[in-house]
Amino acid sequence: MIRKILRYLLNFVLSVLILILIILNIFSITIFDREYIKQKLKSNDFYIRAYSDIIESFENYTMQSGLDLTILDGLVSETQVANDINVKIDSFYTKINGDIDTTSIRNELDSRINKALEENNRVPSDTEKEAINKYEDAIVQAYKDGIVYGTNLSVKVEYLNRLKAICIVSIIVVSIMIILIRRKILRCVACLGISFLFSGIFSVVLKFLLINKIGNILILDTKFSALLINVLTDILNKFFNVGLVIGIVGIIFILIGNIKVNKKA
Amino acid sequence: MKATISDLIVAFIYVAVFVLIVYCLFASKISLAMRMIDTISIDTSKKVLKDVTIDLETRNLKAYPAFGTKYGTISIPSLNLTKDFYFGDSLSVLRNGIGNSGGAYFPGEGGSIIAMGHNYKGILKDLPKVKNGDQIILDLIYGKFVYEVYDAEIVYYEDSDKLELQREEERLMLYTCYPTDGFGHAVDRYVVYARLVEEEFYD
Repeated sequence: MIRKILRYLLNFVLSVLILILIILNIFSITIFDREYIKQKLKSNDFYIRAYSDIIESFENYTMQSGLDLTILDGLVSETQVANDINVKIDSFYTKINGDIDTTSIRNELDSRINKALEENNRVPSDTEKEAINKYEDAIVQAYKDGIVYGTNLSVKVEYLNRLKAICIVSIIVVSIMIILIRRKILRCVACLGISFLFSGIFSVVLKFLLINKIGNILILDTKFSALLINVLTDILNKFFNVGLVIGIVGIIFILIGNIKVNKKA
Repeated sequence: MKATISDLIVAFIYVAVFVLIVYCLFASKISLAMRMIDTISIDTSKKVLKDVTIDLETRNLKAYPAFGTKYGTISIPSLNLTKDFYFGDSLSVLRNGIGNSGGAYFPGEGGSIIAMGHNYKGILKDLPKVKNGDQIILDLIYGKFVYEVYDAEIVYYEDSDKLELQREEERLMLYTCYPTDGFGHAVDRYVVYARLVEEEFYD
């Protein structure tokens, strides 16, 4: 009896470990992979939309500054915005510095304002000098805020890899224990089939539980929401696809594992 | 066959047991996560209200324009200016015209209406030239409202209490950044106050 309980218990533990390994693997090829994130940013036009938002924000400050909008012409480029977003993304995943250098933007803006003042024969008063300084601060800050919302995250990829290693080792240990208890290799295959089927069912059900909830997510702004919905949908689709394959493999393993028992019957 | 079916059942029992364990261990966290998802999961298609009309008895709009949408025009004849009038004060609204702040009343509702625009050329750069007695006309999808300017003042941008919110008298407060001919970040606001003198509701 104890042997039977232990057998079911180990089989359950193996099932959960396989499920955890699937989850960790899907995360490691999605949100824990910076190239995946960059590819998603590109396919969702995030770089272009971030550039547009930054320009819109620049225009907002400029339209109340007494300066002409032409002062912004070519001040920043789409490529520069994309590069700075990538620097920030890289800094999330590695220990490299993710500070955005806005010196060139500020210097260029300052020189353009001085030129505009000269053209208008204006000598700025101390109050105006302060106002110009505040305007430049606002533009630089708007740029920083526009680059991945000025956030500083730290994605611990090494923790995920460590968890995966622990999970794999645990699966091997539990599998050996099951083999030692069950002895018959075909019954062990059936056990593995049960675990695969469990993981498959869970992964498939996950998609149907959450897909309707994430479709209308609206957070921060439309470009971020679109990106988030796309990434989450992709992750759920991956769960569904992997779940379907693992589930079918599980059923096949169960059939193979029970060939002899079924024949006897 | 019996063994195969029993193994399949075991897999489903494992799923049920696992869900139960996870639920028992993380019930509060799961419900918090679900609440968070529900909070940020907004069906925006339901928020777009059409056919903006007003209940003349209660003076409340029956349906509001969608945020960020144009629902009429604003004219200041003394400045020879006509701009699109939007609900909202987002960057894209202010880029294109005059915005009606969502925190105040709508024209026709009998209260304070707060509207704003940039002090940029072609928008409200010449607002300080408006004099007492000048008219501001709002021609909206549900009616036409004529206001007469009676006062103007310069306020610091943080002095929001000077733009009093009330519902005793319909007043339009139209403002822009000040100075309008300065350079740099403007921290003052030029506010023009106008009273409703004429209104006409469309069918």
